[in-house]
Amino acid sequence: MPQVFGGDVCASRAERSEGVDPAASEMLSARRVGEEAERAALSLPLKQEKVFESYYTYLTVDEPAVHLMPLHFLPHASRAQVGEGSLRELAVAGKLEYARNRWLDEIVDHPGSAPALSPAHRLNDALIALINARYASVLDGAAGASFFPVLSVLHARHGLSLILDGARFEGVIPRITLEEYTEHATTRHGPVRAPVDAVLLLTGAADDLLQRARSCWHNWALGVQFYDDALDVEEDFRNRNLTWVVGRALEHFHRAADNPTTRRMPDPDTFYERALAEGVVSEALSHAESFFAESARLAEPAFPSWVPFQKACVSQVRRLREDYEKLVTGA
Amino acid sequence: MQHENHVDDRLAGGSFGISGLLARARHRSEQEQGYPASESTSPYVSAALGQTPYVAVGNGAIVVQRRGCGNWNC
Repeated sequence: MPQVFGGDVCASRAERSEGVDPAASEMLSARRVGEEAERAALSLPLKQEKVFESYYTYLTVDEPAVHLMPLHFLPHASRAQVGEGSLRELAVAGKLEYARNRWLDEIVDHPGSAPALSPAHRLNDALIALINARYASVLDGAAGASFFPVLSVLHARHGLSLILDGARFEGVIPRITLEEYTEHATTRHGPVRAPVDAVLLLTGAADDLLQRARSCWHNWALGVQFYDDALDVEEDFRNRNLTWVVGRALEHFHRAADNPTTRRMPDPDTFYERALAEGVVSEALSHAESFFAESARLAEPAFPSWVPFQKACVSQVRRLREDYEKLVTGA
Repeated sequence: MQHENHVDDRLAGGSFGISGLLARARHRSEQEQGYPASESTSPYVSAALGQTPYVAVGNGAIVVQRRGCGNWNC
């Protein structure tokens, strides 16, 4: 499974943030969240280590949807209940975790990128401590008692998902259903969801609202996953990362080969061409559209700011799918 | 059984008879990701998804800022 929450890290934050007005003092500014997360990470004594550079690269990715999760999922009825400072602490914790998640993705998904063991463990430990401290500064009492066990479970499930993806596939391709893949992807995204849980627990939200928020968020993350998988299908096939779309495309090659040991891998160009021509890439994008649409549906009425974002996601994915389909039919 | 045995006539021959499809699809993918192929070697570059131009305001309103980027809502 490739990295999930994509982003191009080539540009500097200053360049990317042109045009954004951070002036209003009451803002929960995506830019400010990003900058504060960077400052927090740079305060670590490990910043001179090579492994830090890899982590830090992800921290500099502008991801306003990630930065602003605590505000998007602050229930509309509880807006007056939580101050900007608390939201920002949760947002910074979420950004630090997001970057940690992607740093670990990189290690798993790109063979040969593994850092030295001790620096990697020390950085991971330091980040976990930093993240937990941010959450603890906001979540005390009952909210904290509810939150931290959930965070532990998210981390534990994430650990298994990394191990499974690290195993890769060679020769024999395991069948993977849509349901299996979405379940697996959900665990792989899990810790990034933590700010959503945090803000809802902070407001004392009812369990059904918490569950709805989680489902809403995971549907978005799954939409991102399928969109990313569709774009990265060639790379994932080359790296032997088994995504749903890679497995689905391979079915078209192996349909009549009942004995898995006699199946042979196609060359990458043939694989990609067939994935396009058979509509597998379009199918993955259709799933992405459905996930985004479901996220938008679930966001109503409690999380209204999440809705236009999901609708924008639907539009962009649909445009990409239709373009691919035109390329195939017009070829 | 090897995969070539299951490729139908329309798709036979490796290129499937779909001239230029791969090149055009790759070009479209690069457009989506906002970078040219020559710069695609970074392992960090991915879908640019989630790069929304939102700045949120504390009173509950969401201000959408357009930053001239090529991603969501831009």
